[in-house]
Amino acid sequence: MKKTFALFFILAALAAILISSPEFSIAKAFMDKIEREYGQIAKKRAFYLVQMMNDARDLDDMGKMEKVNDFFNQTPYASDKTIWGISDYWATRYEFVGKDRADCEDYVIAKYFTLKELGVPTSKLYMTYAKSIRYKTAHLVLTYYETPKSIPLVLDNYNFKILPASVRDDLIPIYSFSGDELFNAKQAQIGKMVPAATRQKRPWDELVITRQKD
Amino acid sequence: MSLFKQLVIMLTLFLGVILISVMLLNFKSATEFVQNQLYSDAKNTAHSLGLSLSKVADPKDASSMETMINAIYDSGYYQRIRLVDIDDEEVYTRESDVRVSDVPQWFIEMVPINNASATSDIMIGWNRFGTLEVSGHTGNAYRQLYSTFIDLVQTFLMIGIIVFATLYFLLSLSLKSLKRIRDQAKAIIDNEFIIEKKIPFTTEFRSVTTAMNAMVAKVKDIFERENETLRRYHELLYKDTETKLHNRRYLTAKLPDYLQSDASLSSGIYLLISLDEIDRLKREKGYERYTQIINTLADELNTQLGSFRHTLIARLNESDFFAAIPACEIEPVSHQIEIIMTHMREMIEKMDKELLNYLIIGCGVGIYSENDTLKTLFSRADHAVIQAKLRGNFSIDLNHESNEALVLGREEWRSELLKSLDESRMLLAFQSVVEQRGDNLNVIHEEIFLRLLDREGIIHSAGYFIPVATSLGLIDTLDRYMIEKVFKHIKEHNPITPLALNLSGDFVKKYSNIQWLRAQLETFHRQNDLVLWFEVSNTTALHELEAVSAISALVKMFGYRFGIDHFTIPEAGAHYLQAIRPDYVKANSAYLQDMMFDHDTGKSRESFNNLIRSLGISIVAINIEEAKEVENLKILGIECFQGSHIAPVALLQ
Repeated sequence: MKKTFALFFILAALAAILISSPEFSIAKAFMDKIEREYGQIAKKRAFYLVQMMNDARDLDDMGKMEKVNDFFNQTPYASDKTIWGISDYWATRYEFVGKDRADCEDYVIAKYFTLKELGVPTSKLYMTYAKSIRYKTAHLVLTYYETPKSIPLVLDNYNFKILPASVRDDLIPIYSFSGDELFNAKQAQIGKMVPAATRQKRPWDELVITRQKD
Repeated sequence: MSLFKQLVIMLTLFLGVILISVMLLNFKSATEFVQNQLYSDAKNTAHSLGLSLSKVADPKDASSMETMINAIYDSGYYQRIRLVDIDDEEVYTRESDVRVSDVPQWFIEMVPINNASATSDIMIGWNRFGTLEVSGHTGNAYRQLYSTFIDLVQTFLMIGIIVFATLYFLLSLSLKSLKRIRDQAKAIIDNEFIIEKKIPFTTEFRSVTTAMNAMVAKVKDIFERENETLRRYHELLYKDTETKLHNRRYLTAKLPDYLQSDASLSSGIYLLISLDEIDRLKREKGYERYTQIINTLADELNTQLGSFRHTLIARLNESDFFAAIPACEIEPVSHQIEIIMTHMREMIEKMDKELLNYLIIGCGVGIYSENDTLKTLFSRADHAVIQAKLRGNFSIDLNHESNEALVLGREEWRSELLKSLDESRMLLAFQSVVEQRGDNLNVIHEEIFLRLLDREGIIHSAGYFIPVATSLGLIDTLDRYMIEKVFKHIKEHNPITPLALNLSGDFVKKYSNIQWLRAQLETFHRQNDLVLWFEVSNTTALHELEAVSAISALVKMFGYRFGIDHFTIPEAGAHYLQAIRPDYVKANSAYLQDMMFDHDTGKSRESFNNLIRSLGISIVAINIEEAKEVENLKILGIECFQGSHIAPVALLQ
């Protein structure tokens, strides 16, 4: 009986390994690079990011979004002016993890790319420009449309909870773009944007997180 | 192909390839730019219109959205603006066909423009309403691109033309000297001596010019030296040392040319003045008196007879003086002789009356014709002088007798000659000129003569009527007639051997005749490739140098040959040959033997050969009457012969 139980346990473990998604990892050389550039704590944050992604990889879209939203919302808000010294700067996820400070666009970018890597279809993910009534400020949030016609879920850094747009009375939507379209446009602008461009030449997916089969 | 042409072609290719590639690259980037602009314009419109539509989006009432789309569509350059809802159902579309006026179809087909459409999402609050799709107007892009293309072509054409013209100018400037080098080289081939004074700037051309100049100078020097040698030799051989008149040898060599010239020289007046007891004069009165009398007579002959054209005066021996005055009546000559006699009498009387006792001077005057030979002429002259002397000192024997059977008046002659032309009684005759090389015998050309068939059916040679025709001014008519007849003969019979035509001095003299000949040759040349040869007599060549040079150049231009008949080196030297540059000269066999055979040393003389051949002229020996002459001349390097021994004159069928 004990033997049978042990055998069942081993088989179950094997099956779990076989049916589970491949694992995420960051190359050691890249870890060292982060450490060199941003310090040991930043290296740790990158490690936790990968750990979070590995925890979330087998969850459904909602589960993935919750994990990702929670992870990035731990980072405190700061304006571009204080982080980068200029009024508008779109930081990459690499810079986000390194600096551990972000403003609204930086949250959206980091969440978007992470969800994309986790396999959430980009056709469901939109960037929505909205006005924040409470802060009287222009805002950018990440929206998730279950179907094209459904009310989207809003992921932002003002309210840490993922809520349907209909209950977010603090936001007035202005306009939406599909993620890829916006990033391509932004990338196209880079050539023109001096001096911000001097640092923003970095690719959006600079933080290389590889995915390998076990 | 000339170097200049080659360089121009290379330059054109080079320039063309560079300009076309730069133009294509330029055009390619312009196309890319227009294409990108087309897309980014569409994209900007998609987003700004999308943002505006989001404000008025209403699934139940599309009218506001349609109005907005209309406003944008009508005010800009768009091919299509399409709005679809979330289910891909079309809500509204504005579209127009691409009609591109001002742009040719080939351009549209040649330049593909990819009209990518841009999209943006339309929202109603948080909800998605649909998608807006915007395509820019390719017509506008084509128009822009076409005008860019035209601008480019114009600019590059202009640059091309300017650069090409500049290069062409510079190239022709530096190759200008090459043309002169070519002209000089061509002149050398034609045995013409041009010394180029302008030394080219380009080093390579400069050395070529210097080398050619040196060569030309050398050849010219040879010519000058040989010319001088020959002139001196000529004087030694043919001049009487005391009077500087020609001697008997010259007369013997030259008179046959007169008698057989087949032209105006072949008849005229001869005279012989003879002095008796010359030795006694020398013995009794001394050498001084003797030379005084002899030289006075020589001077008188030169003065009184010099005004007649082509007069030939020679001292036959110590006491005999001979003169031939062609194409002349007896009266004017006898008048001049009377003056001579009077002057001589006065002079001798003044000097010493005693001399009149034994120094008898007599003069015989008569008419010579082409039927005469040296022998008959001298015996007639001797006879006349004896008659004169019998009549007393300083008397003149006039002999009006002529060998001619037909004696006509001037007007009768004129009508007879013109009639003979009309009735085709003027016939063509020919004599072959051969080249003997070893045992090979080739006919190199046939010399053409005119013959007159009179009403009695007798054929007369040219000497019979040419002198009269000359005095009647009909000679160029006869020449034209001969040329036309020869052309006709060639057309009808297509002979293989070239025909040589003699042009008279009167024909050559008139510019209108040269013009006429040019026109005739131009027509003839197009129909026949037979080689025609033309000849003028040495006398004509000397007296009408300019006209003869022009004819020679004209004849050579057509690829024909030009020759000088009855050639002798004149006292002034052979420089006229440089101007005329004949292909050949025909010289009396006796003269040639005199010139080329040194009677003192028995050796062949190089000077005559060097002089003639330095100009690339070949020599034809004429008046060959016996085989021995051919043998002698062959030893002297002569290969071409003409004369009764070689082939008699025959009528052309």
